[in-house]
Amino acid sequence: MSDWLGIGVGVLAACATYLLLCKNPSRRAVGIILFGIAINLLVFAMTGAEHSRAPLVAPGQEVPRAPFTDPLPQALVLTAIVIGFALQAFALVLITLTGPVDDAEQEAGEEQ
Amino acid sequence: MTIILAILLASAVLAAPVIHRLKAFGATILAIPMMVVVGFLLNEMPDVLAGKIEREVFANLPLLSAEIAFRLDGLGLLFSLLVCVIGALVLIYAGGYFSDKPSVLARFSSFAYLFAAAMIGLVVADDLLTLFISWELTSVCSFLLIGLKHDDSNARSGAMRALLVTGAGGVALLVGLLLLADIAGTTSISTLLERGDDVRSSSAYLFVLGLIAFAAFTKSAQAPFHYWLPGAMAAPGPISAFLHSATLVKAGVFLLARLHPVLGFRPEWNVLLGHVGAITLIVGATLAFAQNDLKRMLAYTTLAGLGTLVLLLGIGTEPALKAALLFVTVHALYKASLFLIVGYLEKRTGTRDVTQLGGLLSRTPIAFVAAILAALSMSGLPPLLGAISKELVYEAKLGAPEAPILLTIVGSLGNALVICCAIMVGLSPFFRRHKPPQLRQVPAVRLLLGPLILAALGMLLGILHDTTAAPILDAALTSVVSEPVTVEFTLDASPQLVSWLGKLTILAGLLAFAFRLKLLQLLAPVKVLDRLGPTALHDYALNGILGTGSFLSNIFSRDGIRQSLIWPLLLVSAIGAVLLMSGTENWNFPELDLNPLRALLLLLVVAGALGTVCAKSTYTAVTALGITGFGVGMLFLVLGGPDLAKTQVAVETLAVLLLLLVLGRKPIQPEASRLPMRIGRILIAVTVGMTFTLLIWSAAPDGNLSQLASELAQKSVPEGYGRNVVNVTLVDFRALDTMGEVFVLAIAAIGVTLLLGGVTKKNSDSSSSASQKTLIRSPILRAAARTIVPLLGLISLVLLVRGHHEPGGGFVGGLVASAAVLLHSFAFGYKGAGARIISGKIIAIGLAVVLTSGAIGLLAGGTFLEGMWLSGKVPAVGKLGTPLLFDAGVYLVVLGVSTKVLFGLLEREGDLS
Repeated sequence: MSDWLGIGVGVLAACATYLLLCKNPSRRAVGIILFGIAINLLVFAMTGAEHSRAPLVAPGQEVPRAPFTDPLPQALVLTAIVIGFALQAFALVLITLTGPVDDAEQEAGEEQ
Repeated sequence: MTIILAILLASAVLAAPVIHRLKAFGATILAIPMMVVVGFLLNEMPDVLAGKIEREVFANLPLLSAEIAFRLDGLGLLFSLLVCVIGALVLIYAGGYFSDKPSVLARFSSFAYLFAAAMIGLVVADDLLTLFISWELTSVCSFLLIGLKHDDSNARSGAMRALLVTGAGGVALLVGLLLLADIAGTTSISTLLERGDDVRSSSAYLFVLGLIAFAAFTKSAQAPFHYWLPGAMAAPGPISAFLHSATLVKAGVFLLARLHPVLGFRPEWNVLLGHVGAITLIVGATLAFAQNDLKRMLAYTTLAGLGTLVLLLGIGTEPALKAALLFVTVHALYKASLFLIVGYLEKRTGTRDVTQLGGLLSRTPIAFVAAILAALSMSGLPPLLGAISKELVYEAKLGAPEAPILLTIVGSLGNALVICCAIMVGLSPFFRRHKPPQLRQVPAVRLLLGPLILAALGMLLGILHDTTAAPILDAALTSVVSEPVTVEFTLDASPQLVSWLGKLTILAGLLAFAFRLKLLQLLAPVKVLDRLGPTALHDYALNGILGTGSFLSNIFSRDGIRQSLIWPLLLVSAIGAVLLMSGTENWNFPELDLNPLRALLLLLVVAGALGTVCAKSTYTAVTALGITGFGVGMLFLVLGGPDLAKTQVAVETLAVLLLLLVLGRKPIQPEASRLPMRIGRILIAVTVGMTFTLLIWSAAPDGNLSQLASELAQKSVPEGYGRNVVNVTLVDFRALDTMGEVFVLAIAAIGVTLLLGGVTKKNSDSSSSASQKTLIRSPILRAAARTIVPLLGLISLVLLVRGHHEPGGGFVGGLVASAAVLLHSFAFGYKGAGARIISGKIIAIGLAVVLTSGAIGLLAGGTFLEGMWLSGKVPAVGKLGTPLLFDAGVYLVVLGVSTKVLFGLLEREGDLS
C-alpha cells in the first residue's frame, strides 16, 4: 500500500508547495494547512501502515495482537496535528495581517 | 553560609514590596538584613581566625560531578564583610538619593541584594562550579544596575558594554575552571588548593593561567579591558560606590588571590600580572588626572587602584600579598566614601565638574569631614589606614624579586597623580574660591551617614590596626599563601627610605595639583588616542559582528514568505535528488494491498488537494481542503490509527471554521505572474512532491516493528495500566514531550492574541465587549444546538475518560469540547472579549494541572511526571493515577487554546452573517 500512499502524499506535498509559492494570501493559507497534512501523512506512512490494526490491547490481554501498527509515530503525529492547528492559526493571522499591501488596498477599494 | 545567602535572596525578593509600601524610608529598613548578615559574619569570625572552618555542601550535582558548596575562610570573610558593611550603608544612602523615585529605588534595592548574594556566593564558594555561577551572576547584576535608568541611552550602552566585556571573561573563566578541575581531578576548591604542584607542573598551565587571568582582567577592568568601567559610571552614585569601586571590580582581584596558591609561584604569573597591573596603574592615574568630572576622575583612580592590586599579586611575595589585601580594604572604604560624597555634591549643587565647584566648606561641613578623611586615606597620610597600606606597598615594591627600582618609580608616579586627584576631590570643592553654586534641599542625614561612617572606619582601623584589621588580614593572608612557602625576602630598603618615598610622593602630588593645567596641556596630544582607544575598537568590533550577521541573514531571509521559503524547499528538493541518485535497490515496495475502500479514500484525498489548487474562490478552496482533511482522517482509520483519525477529523472541523474566519469572503484573485515564474513554481512543487514520495518509498520498513515500538506495546498494560498504547505513550511514557507540546500550544495562543490585539483595540469601543454578540440568527441552528451542544460536551468527556483504554484522550476530547463551545456561541451568541479571557484562564488551569500531575511524581519520591497510581480500581475507568490527571490538563489546555484563538478571530471579523 505504501507505494500508492507515497504517490498520494507526493501529490499533496506538490499542491501544498505550489499554493505556498503563490502571491495570494488565501492560497498561501490553504497551502500551509495542506502542507501540515502532507507532513503528518508522511511520518505516518514512512513507518509502515500496511498492518492496518490499531495498537490496542484487547480487554484481559497483556499485549496488542500482532501484527499492529507502530504506536510511536502515531503519538508523534497526534500531537503534531493539534500543535499544527494552533501554529496554523498563528501563521494564518500573520499572513493576513502582513499580506501584500496592494491586496488589502484593493479590498478596501471594493468595499467602498 | 546557606542561611546568609537565604537572607540576602529573600531580601532581594521582599525589597520591592517594602519600598512600594514605605517609600524612601523602606531603604533604611532594608539595611537591617544586611546588618544581620554582618552580625552572622562577625559571629563566625573567631572560628575563621582559629582556622576551624567547616565546609558546607548545599547540593550535590552528580551529573556535573560538582557541588554547590561553601566554605568561609579568611579571604572570604574579608570580602564578605566589605560587601555587607558597604552594602548596608549604600542602601541607607540610596533611600536619600532616590527619595523622589520610589520605583527606581525598589529596583535598586532588589538588584543590590541580589548582587550581594552573588558576590558573597563568589567569595565563599568552595566549588569551581559554584564559583563560576556566582561570578556570572555578579556580571548580570552589574548589567542590571548600570542600566538602572534604562531610559538613558548612555546607561544602556554602558550596561551593554560592561556585560559584553565581563561576559567574554566569564566564558574564558568557564573553560579555565574546567581545565583546572580536569588537571586537579576535583571541583572542590579546598582540595584543589592542596594540589597546586599538579597544576603548576601540568602542560596546560599556561592555558589555564591565560584564561583565568583574562577573566580576572575583564572583571577588574585591567588595561586594555578597562574601558567598560568609565562607561559604567552612567549608573547613579550609590551603584558606582557599591559595585564599581568597592566590590564588583575587586572580584577579579579576588579570583587571582583565591587561585594564587595554585597558579602562582611561576615566573609567567609574575610577568603577566606585573606588567598588566603596572600598565593599568599608569593608564588609570594619567586619565584620572586629566578629568574635570569628579565621578569620572574617581572611576579612573579606581583603575589605578585595581592596577596596583594586580601588580602586587603579580609580585607575589608575602609582603606584597599582605599589602594587596590591606589595600583592598583601604581602597574599598575611601573610594566608596568619595563616590558617595560626589553623589551628594551633585545632588546638592547639580554639578560634579571640579571647575564649577568651590567654597562649600561653610555650607556642608559634615561632607567636608568625610571627604577630607577619605582623601587623606587615599593619599596615605597617618593616622589613617591608608598610611599603613602605603608603607606596605612601598615595602613590597622595593622588595620585589625583579625590577624593584622600576616598579617603585612607576608606583610613585602613579601615586603622585592619585594624590593630586585626592586633593581635587577632597579639598578643591570646599576651599577653592568660587561663587558657591545654588544649593538644593536634600535628605542630608541619609546621604552623609554612609560616607562619614566609611571614612571614620578608615581612621579607626588605622589607629586600632593591630587589634581590628590585622587578625582578619592575617587569616586572609593564610588563605592566599596557603602553603607556607618560604619566600626569600630581605628588606633591602630601610624604613627611612620608605618614609622618605612617601613624603616625596606627597610633594609630587602637591606639585602636580599646582601645575595641573600646564601638565594637562602637555598631555593634550594623548587625547587623540581616544579615537583609537579600546572603546572605539569595541564599537568597531561590535558593529562588524552585527553587520556580518545582518548580511548573512539577508541572504537567507527576505521579506515575504515566498523568498524565505525558497531555501528550505531547495534543501528538500536536494534530499529528493540524493534519494533518486541512490538507486532503486533501496526502495521498498510492500505487497500491493489496495482494496476499493482505500483506493477511494486516496483518490478523494488527491482530488481535494488538486481542487485547492484550481479553486477560484475561497469557499471552493476551503471545501476542497475539507475533503482532503476528512479523507486523510478516514485514511488514518482504515490504516490502523483510530486515535489519529478522531483527532484529524476534529481538527479539520475547527480548521475549516478558522479558515473561513480568517479569509472571510476574500476572492482568490487569478495569479498575475508571468509564465516563467509559474513554470518555476510548478517545477519546485513537483520536485518537493517527488521527494516526499521517494522518502516514503525508501523508508518504508520491512514489516517488523522497531524494538522501541514493541517495548512500548509490551509495557503499556503492566506498567502504564492502559490498553491504548498511543495514549499511554502520550500521557505516561513520553509525558515530558507531551508537556512541552502543550506549552507550545499555550504559547501559540498567546502569539495569536498578541497579533490580534493591535487589530481589536480599534473596534473594541464601538462593538462593546461586554454585550452579548449574536452571530447567526437561525431558529433551526438553535434548536439543533440545544441537543447537540450537551451531547458534544458529554462525548468529549467520554473521550477523555476512556482514552486510556480505547481510542480517545485529552487532545481529541479538548477539540470536541471546543467544537461544542463554538457551536453554542454561534447559535446563542457570546460575550465578546470576556469569552477570550475565560479561555485564557482555562489554559492557565490546564497548565497548572499538567504541572501538578508531574509534581506528584516528584513528591512521591519518583521523578517528574512519573506515573503514580492508586491501588484500587474504579469501574468503567480502571486504575486511577497521575497520567489521567495529566490527560485532563491536556484536555483543558487544548480546549482553552482552540476557543481562545477562534474567539479572537471572531472578534476581529465581527458578525459572520
